[in-house]
Amino acid sequence: MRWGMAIEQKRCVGCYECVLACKAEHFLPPDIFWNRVLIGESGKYPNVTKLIYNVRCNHCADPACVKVCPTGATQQREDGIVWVDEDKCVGCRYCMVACPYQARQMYEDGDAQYFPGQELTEHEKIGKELYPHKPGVVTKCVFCMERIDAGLAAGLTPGVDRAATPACVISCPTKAIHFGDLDEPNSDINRVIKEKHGHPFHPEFDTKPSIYYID
Amino acid sequence: MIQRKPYDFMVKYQQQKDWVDGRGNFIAFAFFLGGIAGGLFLAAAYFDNLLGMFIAFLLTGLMGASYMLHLTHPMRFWRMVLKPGTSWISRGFTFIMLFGFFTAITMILMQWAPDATAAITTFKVLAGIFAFAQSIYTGFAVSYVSAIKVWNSAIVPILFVTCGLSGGLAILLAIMVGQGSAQIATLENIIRVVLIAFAIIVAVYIWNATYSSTAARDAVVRLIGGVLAPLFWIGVFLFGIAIPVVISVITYWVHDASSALLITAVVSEIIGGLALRFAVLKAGVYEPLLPSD
Amino acid sequence: MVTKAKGKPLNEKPVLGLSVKGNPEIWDDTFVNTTCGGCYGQCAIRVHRVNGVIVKVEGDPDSDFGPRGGICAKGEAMIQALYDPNRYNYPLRRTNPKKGLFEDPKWKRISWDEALDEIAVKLKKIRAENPHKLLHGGTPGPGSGPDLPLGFGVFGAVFGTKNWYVGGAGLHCGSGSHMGAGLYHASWSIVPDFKYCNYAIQMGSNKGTGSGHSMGFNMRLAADARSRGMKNVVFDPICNFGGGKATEWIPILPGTDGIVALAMVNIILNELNVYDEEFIKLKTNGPYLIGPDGKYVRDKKTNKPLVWDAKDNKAKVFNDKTIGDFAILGEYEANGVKCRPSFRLIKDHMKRYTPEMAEKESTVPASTVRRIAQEWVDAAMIGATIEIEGDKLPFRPVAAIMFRGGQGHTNSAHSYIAMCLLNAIVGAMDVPGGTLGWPAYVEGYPDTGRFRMIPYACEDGMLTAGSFMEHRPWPIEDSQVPYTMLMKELTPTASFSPHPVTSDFDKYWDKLGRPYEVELAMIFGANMIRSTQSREIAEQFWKKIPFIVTFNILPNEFCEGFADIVLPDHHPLETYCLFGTHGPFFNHPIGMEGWDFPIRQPVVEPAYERRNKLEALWDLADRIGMREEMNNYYNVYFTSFGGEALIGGDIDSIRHLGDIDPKKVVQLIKPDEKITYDQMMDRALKFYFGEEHGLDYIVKNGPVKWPKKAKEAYWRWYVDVRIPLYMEHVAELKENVMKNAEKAGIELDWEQFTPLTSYFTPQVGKEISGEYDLYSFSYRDILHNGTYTMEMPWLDEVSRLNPYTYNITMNASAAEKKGLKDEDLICLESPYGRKITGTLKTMQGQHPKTVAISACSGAWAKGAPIAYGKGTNFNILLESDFKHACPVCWSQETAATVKVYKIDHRIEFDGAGGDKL
Repeated sequence: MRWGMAIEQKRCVGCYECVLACKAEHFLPPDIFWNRVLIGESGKYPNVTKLIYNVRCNHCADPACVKVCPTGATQQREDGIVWVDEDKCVGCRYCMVACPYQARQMYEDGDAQYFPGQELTEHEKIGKELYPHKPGVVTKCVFCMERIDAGLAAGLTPGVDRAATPACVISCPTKAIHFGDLDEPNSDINRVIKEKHGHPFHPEFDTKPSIYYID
Repeated sequence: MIQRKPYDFMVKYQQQKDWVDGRGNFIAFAFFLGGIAGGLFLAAAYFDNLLGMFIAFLLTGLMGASYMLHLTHPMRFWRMVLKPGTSWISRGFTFIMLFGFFTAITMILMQWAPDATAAITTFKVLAGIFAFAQSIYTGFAVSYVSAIKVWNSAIVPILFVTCGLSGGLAILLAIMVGQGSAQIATLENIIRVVLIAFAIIVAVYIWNATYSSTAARDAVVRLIGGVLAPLFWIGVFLFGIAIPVVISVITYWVHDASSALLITAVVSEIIGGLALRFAVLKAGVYEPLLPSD
Repeated sequence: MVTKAKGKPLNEKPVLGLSVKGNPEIWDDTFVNTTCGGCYGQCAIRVHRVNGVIVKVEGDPDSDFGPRGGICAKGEAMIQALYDPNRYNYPLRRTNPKKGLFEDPKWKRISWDEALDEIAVKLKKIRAENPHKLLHGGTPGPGSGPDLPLGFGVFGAVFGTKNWYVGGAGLHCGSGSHMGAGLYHASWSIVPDFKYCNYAIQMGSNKGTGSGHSMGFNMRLAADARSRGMKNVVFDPICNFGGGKATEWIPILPGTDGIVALAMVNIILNELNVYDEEFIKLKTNGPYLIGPDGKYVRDKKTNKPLVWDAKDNKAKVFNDKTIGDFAILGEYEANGVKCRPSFRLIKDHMKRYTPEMAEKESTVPASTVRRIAQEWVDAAMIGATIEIEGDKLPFRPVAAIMFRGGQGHTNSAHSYIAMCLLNAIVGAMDVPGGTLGWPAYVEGYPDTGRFRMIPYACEDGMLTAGSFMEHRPWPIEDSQVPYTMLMKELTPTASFSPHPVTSDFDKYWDKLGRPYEVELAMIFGANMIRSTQSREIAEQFWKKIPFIVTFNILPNEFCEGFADIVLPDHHPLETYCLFGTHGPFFNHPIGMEGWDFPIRQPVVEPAYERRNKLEALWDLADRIGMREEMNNYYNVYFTSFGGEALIGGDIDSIRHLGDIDPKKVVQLIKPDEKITYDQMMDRALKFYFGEEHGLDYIVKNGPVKWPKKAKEAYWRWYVDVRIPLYMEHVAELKENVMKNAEKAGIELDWEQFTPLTSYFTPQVGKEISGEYDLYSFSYRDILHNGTYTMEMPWLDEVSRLNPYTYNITMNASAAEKKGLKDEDLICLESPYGRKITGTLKTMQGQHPKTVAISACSGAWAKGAPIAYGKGTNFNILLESDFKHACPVCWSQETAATVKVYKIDHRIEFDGAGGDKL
């Protein structure tokens, strides 16, 4: 079992909901993003193409970050999800340096709040109960592993049943993101990748990313 | 070329900011200290200079402190030895521990059992091996990062260890000047060779980087003519190469050179060594994620 | 009220649908179905509440009303607006008597009773003296669109004032769009039939990629269309939202879309000689005979327009059943005058709009214009049919649509109609694959036949909407000498008016003898200072009003600078609302998407003393003795959807409630009843959908849904209606408008009052000269809606991650020629001395003669700390007067000529009292 994503570039309009759905799902602190939307251009006036790429940790099959982590805090599950054990991370940042996609961030300021100088909102407070983040450790996308695990335990299928599927995937208004098991030959995601010629993002980085892009 | 705005993140060439800036500065210090500590020990071991070995030992401790200051959870540092299979930091941690251990034994033996020459030699050699390892492993840690093209070169470990050796030899020279040692001239000759080697390796490193990828070329441009130019030309070139080379030429022709001149060369090389670590770390640039034209 | 039941945690089983670390105590884990308040789309959402706190907003996967499970960033960020510590929580009174752009109101908290009593006293006095002294209005604020037809507009209309000011409405969308879409599609705006369209042209429109209007389902449908391979040609000065997803982006100068459309019509009609004859003959006034005076030749007895029956070779009334074949070319004689079918006139008139002329005006290469016209006609498949659910319908898989950008200029009406012509000549209107208005045809809920809205033919056989709002597209009213401060009655083709917040209003009001002054203004949701044109002009107007009351959720520049009393409104997540809109023609899913009527219900109880604004208005109505009249209105309103179109939904028809036969009205609310909002919803829902489908049922089981029929989705050939390709009504109006305008000393560009769609250089084009050599314009950003979204920290964060949202953009080479580079702080200055500043970001994807700013940022309100200083407020550059408005539909000129130069600080914030920028 290896979880992966396929993102249809044609469908994405760059609405940033994937970014905010993730922030809401995990009560991410200010300036911490587990996924991003990169905007650029290619071509010269007037033959211009707007580029929109939604990027996140690729949960690579051969992850550079796992190899370089000295404490084993960064580790990879059987199902391919790469995650960071907040209790083991020392903050050496080797993994952050080693990731060619720059998918990781250091959560520095544990006191950062969304309305600086004003009281914490009810929303921020409940976030600290439901999904607390320890400052001083490396943080990144975890493919919503808590959602997936809870869903699997309840007999749901990630990528098919909403409650077991990552937040960014189900919130996309254009259904640009697919999620599923890359090791399952007949899965929906493999079908999409095959039919629509999905390709990994920057394969030259040699990490075998699990996220495919479809032009 | 330097990207400052948040919307240029990984759209333009992105400078790494984790091992540089703020806490990251301690990494540069630690790399530098580890390099010269290892180099100093090797030099001191060759010349049987106990003070030199001791200072190398202290510098290693200082390096450890510098690493700890970089960490956000320093009290968990003991975990960092757990992944020697894949992580150069784990391996480095091991090398440092072993270096410290063998050096301590060597120094103790040399101080209190100076006749146990076989044992001393054994431990000295062992310590020497790990001194070398300590000096070079940071280069491997850096070159292992294939994400940063200007780092991902076989030259980097050689560059770091040569720089470390150069700095270590310089410190030993300062020690010998202080001790009024008779071996200064020999040391000076070794220094000259290492200095020239260092200069050549820096040049080859920079030149080669212009070929290896567009990100590496972007890094080189920053170093040679961009925002990192002062650091490179003044720090690395002027202090690290030019001044020491000039002084070593002068001392070649003028025997019995003044201590002031020698100390100047030493200080200059130390600044240069530190500058080199900063320059390499700050030049670390990632390929943009967005397809370019 | 959701409270914690002690000792009863629900989480023996893990929480599903939310990431949770560890094992925190969960005593409330609920999903509530409601509607989003992020923009006018009102998408159906399901909101996750845990332990009494809203934690997540998701789309409703079972509803066509939206992205079907997804949602956009604005919807998610609503959570932060709900919990913003800067919210208004209590009624406040201004204690600083000074009003102005940067004045500190020095709020003092008061009670609701005190506030409403004081307002009621003033209202009573005004109603007794002259109800027009009340100016009421706003634009729907954070998702409060549904409250427009049910609350605010109604209150004023029943009160008796005709001064209903929808600020910024001619600026945010466009009077040309609403006038045109109303006239041609009985709808509020238009969109391609994404399911079947193969070739869509967009002119100044971000449908499917931008913000605002029904973005939710449009995004979903447009993504499917792109995936399927639909070609999308986007004419736009910037390659950002619409241009960014286009298959071909064509840069164009602002305000020149009309001439490109006309040139294409010319090529199609006169060079390619192709058009949908049947459509023109049966669905337009193409066959109507036009006399030498430019007006219809009418039957002497019935006064109906005449056509020429080519079979019988004589003139007949247009809806004569014996007509064998409608002539649309040639010259004839009827009623003793020489006359031609209007289509002939149009066809000849178009000859002057050559592609070369279009190129000169718009910079779009003539060869491109020719190519697109050819592609358009090839893709249109004139004569093709398709079978949908057993019905055989004409199939025209092409759509040309325009929204704000294309018609936001002084040539608004003509630009929009030019584009409608493009659709009409190939018959691609409200048929599969073609240009669709938002649903204008509702047969009603199958069980009850209620919620019914059918377009029909009215005067001269022209399309008339079953229901509309704001203005009445057809039949056109008579021109009158202005008696309201908006003066719209002068030009009945206008949908919104910039007056009275203009620099020339006083001149005209003086000439009319200043019949009265505004004594009280009641505004909800709108930021009348930042989201409308020219804050300097606006300041002069609002400063003079003795008493201003606003309903708001969050502090904004208008409340702080000008309000005397602020009343704390409900956020969409804590309130009830009946449906998402007044009618499906505003924002319901198009084409064969199902009928769906999501309601809004509170997910959390409103805290502090916030109140639903409708209930507050009813409270006011009680205090001034107007409640019975309001109740009567609601009875008439709901009954109108019951099959009898008693009122058109437009403001004017509300004023004629008294004329309606009471026997036709179903009494849902008894005259003296004082019900709550949710009680009203319950009765309305039961009336529409049956006794068993009241509020309780819908809360438990979800909204009432039923499938749409092909006849409803693609109604054009099921209703015997025509559209005015030849705008004869403009010819009819002209003389009277000129005469009435003279009484007020108003001079309009009378040339534009021509029935033949033409191109007129927009005001912005006329002001290009010398050092003022660039066109500056603004456009909607997907991240923002109105002026309050920058206050939401999440949206602010991602805006800072976007290269364009908070910056001013220019073409890279053009910037270089002026010695400007990325990150320079630049100033844009108009020939009128208006100045704005911002950070430059150069782009390849922008027309070299333009400067662009997205969204409506540049906040300076002290009560909105997150938004302060972010981005640039483009509207400061605009002028507000007749010279900068379309004379026919009164849409604002939304582009300004500027010169650009470097500057050292952000001068428009001097005096704002915040951090130095």
